[in-house]
Amino acid sequence: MRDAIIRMEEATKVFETEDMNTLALRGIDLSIYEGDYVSISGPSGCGKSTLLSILGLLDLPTSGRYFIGDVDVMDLSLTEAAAIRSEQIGFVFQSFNLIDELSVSDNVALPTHYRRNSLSSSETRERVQRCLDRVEMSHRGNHKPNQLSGGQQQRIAIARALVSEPNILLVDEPTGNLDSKNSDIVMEMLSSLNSDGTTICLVTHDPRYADMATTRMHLLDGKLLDQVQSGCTA
Amino acid sequence: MNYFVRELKFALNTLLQAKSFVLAVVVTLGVSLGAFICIAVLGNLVFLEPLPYPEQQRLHLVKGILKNNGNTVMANVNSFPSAREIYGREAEFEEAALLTFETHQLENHPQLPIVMTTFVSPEYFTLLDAPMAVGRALADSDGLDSFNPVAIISHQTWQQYFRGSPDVIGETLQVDERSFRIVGVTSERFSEPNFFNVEFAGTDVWLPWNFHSGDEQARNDWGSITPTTTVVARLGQNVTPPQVTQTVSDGLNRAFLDNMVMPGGQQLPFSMSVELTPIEEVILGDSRSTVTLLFAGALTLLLISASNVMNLMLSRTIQKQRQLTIKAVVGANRRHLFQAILAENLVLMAGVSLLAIVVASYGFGALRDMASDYLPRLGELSLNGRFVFLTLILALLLALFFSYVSTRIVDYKKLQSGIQSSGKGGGLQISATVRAALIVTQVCLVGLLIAANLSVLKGATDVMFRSVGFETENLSYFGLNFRGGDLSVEAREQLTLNIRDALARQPQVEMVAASTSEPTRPSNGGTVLRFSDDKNPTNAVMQFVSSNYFGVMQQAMVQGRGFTADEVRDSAPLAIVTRSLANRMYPGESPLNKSLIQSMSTEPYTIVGVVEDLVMPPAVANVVDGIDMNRQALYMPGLSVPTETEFKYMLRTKPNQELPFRQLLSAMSEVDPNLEPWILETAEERSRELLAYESMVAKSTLALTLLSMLLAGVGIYGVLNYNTQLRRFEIGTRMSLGANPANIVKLIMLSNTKPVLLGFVASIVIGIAIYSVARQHIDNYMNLEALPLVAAAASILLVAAIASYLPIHAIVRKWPIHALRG
Repeated sequence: MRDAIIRMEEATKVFETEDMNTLALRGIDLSIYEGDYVSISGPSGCGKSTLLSILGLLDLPTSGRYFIGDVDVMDLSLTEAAAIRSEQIGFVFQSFNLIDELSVSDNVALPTHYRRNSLSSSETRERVQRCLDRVEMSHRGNHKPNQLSGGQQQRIAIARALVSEPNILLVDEPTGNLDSKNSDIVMEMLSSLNSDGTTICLVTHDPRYADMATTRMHLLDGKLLDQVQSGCTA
Repeated sequence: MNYFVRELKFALNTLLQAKSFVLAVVVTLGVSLGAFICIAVLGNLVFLEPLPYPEQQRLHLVKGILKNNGNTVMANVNSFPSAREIYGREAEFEEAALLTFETHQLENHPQLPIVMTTFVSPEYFTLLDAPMAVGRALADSDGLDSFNPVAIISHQTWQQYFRGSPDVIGETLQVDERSFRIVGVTSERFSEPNFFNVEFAGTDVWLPWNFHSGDEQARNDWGSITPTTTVVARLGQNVTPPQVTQTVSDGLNRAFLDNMVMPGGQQLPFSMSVELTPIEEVILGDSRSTVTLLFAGALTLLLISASNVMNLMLSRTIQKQRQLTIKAVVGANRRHLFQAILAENLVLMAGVSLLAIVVASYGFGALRDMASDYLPRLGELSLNGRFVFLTLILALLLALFFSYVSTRIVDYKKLQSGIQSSGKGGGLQISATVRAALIVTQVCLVGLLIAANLSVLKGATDVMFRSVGFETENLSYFGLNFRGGDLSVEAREQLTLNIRDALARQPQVEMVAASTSEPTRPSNGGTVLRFSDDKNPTNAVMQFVSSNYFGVMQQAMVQGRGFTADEVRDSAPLAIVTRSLANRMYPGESPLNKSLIQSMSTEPYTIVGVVEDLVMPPAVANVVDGIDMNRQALYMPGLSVPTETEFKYMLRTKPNQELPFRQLLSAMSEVDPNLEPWILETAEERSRELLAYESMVAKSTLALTLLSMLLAGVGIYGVLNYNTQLRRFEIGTRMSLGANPANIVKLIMLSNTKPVLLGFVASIVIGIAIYSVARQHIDNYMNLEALPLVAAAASILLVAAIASYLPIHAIVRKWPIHALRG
């Protein structure tokens, strides 16, 4: 039996404000295994991005249990969580989140600077080049992000997510800010990456792209309703 | 217009919901604008407004100058006959007044107060157009040689000793055993100039000139030179100051030489001339530099505050992004957005103006309380319509400036498209250059102000804490007058010894020394004479001292020995000099056993000792021809000066023992009922009095430094916090890519260091440039030294480090999602 890269048990997330508490996630149980391509879809406000933030260690669940490999995430300090993010998780944002003042190559190299075991300069350069090649953007290495189109920026963001050779790629609405042509290019690129062995967890509200995953989960009002296809157990 | 009125109402409502923002802006800017206006009003009086005296451009102080072989020996001095000679020059002066300053006791007042008394001719009041609160000024009937015993009192004396009673007219004052009828009280508005070259805190009582205490001999002696007699005059219409200087000097010197022939017909090497100083220069003098510095400080403080507020405004513009976006989407153009921001700023500036006017009004009172002895025309400070208008104009300009900059940072095109995005990762972006410029400006202004403040503070504290050359603890000065008529030399010396013995018997007294001068009152008691050994002639302040003087003073003997009791009794031809005088007269060699000759004598004096210099505070500076005369003292053995009626003693009391004045009054009356003690003052009290200016400067610069540090802290924190907030999304992204808290703190601290250092370097460069240009005006207040600069750099770096760390710490102690969501 394959080991789960990610395992979540009875996870909840409550957002507290002065006058009300909002239950964003309710008792989420899920596991993601190596090589999976999981999509999480659902209507706006159902908790997709919240779930992905927790999966990516950008936030913690309010209750429940969450393991990355054998590590219980609930006990991690901020610094330990940062180390896991830099080495095991690749994150792709809807709005790309590239840093305008850095070149494309420097943006892609950024996660390698935060590793506990830092890479040599030549190794970093080699990895950056390989990732840019993978997303067919190696000719834009010296450009600034604002000199690129939205689709190109999203491909750079994917290259950046890959540079640390993470165990899993978490992708949040990657086509949200793209036109349909660029959206298709990015989605095909993700499928191709998964075919090469990269584990992917995709959040999307577009059923067409959700269907491209091998395991499809549907979220409604903070609850996982069902899953389709094997490889993902909800 | 309707649109703008609506915006004003809307601004008022929204500001009511942002109370802390309003409070921060109004207090920061209101206080600094008020301080600026307060100093601007003072600057106007000092630099622009004419003095409140009629035809003030023709009013001059006519200073008598005593020279020896062409070198100035004493400046602003006169004998009684020389003053009368100047006073009588009708061809040159349209009107002139005689003044002699003395200290007296009001003998018939129950409190027996010591009052500053100026003996004047009636023209004094017409020349200065002195306003009267009650009664009249001196009139022609009280003129020279009329001997009409009338008195004018100051407004303060009226309030303090006569409770402001309107019935004061007709009351009598007893001064020097003579009764004077009060005929007038000067108005509170009367601004009295200091015409004397001595400490002068303002006149309490004016009496007709003839009643000064000079005896018959002194009234006719051209050689009895004193710094407390002078002449003020209005020049004639058709003469120029150089012409007057020339003709009056010629006439004065002729009369001086005619009357200063020594027995045997020998002519002295002295001459007398006059120097005219415009009254404006007498009154304003060095204070222009002080006011310029104050103005620069207040302006810098205002700029720092404006810079702080600008940061707050930018932050608020960022916060108002959504409101502006909605306005843009529904059709507001760039002008509408400017008006919306301007409306809010105008409401804020209305509050700022009100507070500034209140602060300025209180500031006038504070200036009068703290600096009335050091700054001129403080009594005339008032907030007139012109300055209220200036306040409003400055507030309006600030509002326009803030609105312009705030509108400039809003990218109108991005704003219009902003409503279309989902809001994830959006936000107004201000370029890194603008962010860096804000930090550089803030740090530069703060660096300038703090470095300047610390330089002034160091200068003041250096003076306050340096050694004066003798031990002030448990040391007192006791002065008394003899009112029993002329004394022979022998009788005077015997009385000196009797008083000394009576003082030594007091249980609190450890040691007593007689002296003809009190070291912190050199111009009152010291005599500046020219000494020569035909080698290095120079001036020196001379005094006679008893044998144990240096022991009582604990003034260190550097070389040689002191005087013996026999040498004092015999007035032996010996001398002890200070280290500076020794070095000037005998550079590179020992002065011991060398002889020096006093200019007015042919007898040589042998130097037997060298003592440590006296280092007096600037309040009693006694500089002649660029030489600090306080450091050039010469002591001779002796008990008294034959022509003086005053006896002076230095007392070393036992530790923690208080010596009451009344006890000495009683003791002295037993020695001789004609003895009238007038002062018993501890050296520490005197030190506090003399260092009051430095103390005021130190306190005010320390307060200004702390205020600057506070503003700097708030300002630098504001700009760095703002800078960090602008990078919040980037920080969130970096955290999501694996940056841990330490990585982020390091990144932000390093990126803030560059503009902070750049700002500080800019402040040093600008500071040095200002110092180079204005050096001659500010050298008395500050010097370019490393310590204040290092202290300023350390303070700013510390503030910047804290200001960088706090906002980033607030971000990195939370999970990255908080930074990403903003």
